[in-house]
Amino acid sequence: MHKPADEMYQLSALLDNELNESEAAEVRKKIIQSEKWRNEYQDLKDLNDLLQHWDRLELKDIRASATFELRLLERLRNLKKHPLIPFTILIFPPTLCRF
Amino acid sequence: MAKPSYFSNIPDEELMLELQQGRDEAFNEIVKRYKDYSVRFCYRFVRDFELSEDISQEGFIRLYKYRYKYQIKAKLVTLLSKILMNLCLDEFRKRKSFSMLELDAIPEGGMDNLNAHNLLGDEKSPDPEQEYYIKELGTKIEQILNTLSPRYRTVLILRQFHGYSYKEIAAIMDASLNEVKIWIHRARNQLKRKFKNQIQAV
Repeated sequence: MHKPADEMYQLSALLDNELNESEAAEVRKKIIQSEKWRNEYQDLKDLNDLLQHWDRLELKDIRASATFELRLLERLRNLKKHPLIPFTILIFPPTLCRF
Repeated sequence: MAKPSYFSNIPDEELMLELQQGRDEAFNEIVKRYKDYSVRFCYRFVRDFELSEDISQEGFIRLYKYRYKYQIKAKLVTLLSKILMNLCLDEFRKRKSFSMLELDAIPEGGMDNLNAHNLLGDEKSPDPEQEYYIKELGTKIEQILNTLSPRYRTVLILRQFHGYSYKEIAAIMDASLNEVKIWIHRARNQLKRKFKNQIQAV
């Protein structure tokens, strides 16, 4: 069930270009007619712009380090070297089987 | 200059099929293509570079381990994102106490100090003062993001920062399109409300 605050969920969808033409026209009409919708839309837009700009600044220098592939290869090699020990070996280790 | 390998020109989904047939070079190509993507993906969740690298390595290892379960109908990038998202959420669960942290004060003026349109319009010469201000504000946003539920935080990160469409988010999160629509709006509303409360508290 939708909460009262969800009435305007289409504003987010409009902001994200997720509405078809007729839905978008309907929402735009509401934005023009209602101050509440207009303010809400502007708030969402400001928040959106701020988040995007912050993310762009934060991510500017983020990329995998030069040793990423090498380290991954090493981890995979270890995984292949030490696969999961079969259950039977845990119960009857070869050292015990001699007796 | 290194010669491009046979694998460098084939689509992602075919690479997975090559990998299923035992050609490990296909895996190297997948890592080459998606290492930056996956580190960035995780960074957007955990905001810690070393942790992001660890998680994305774990993601590739899982992709390799479960390569035989892959079905060509799924996009490789969706599958990888799904794996990474689950690993990041596990990380959140581990440090659950983060969400209990008290929020620091938001810099004076809050969002009113920003002219986001101008900021976005001039990419080449960002104003260092405003850049500093956004970074400061960013710390607060990050703290507020950490107080959202994992579901809301996830939809917001996928939509807002990764730019995924609602349909893609629905596929990654195993949800319906309508659910995604509502979640995104609720998440934004919560973020906005908490942000405003912080500003008012200053």
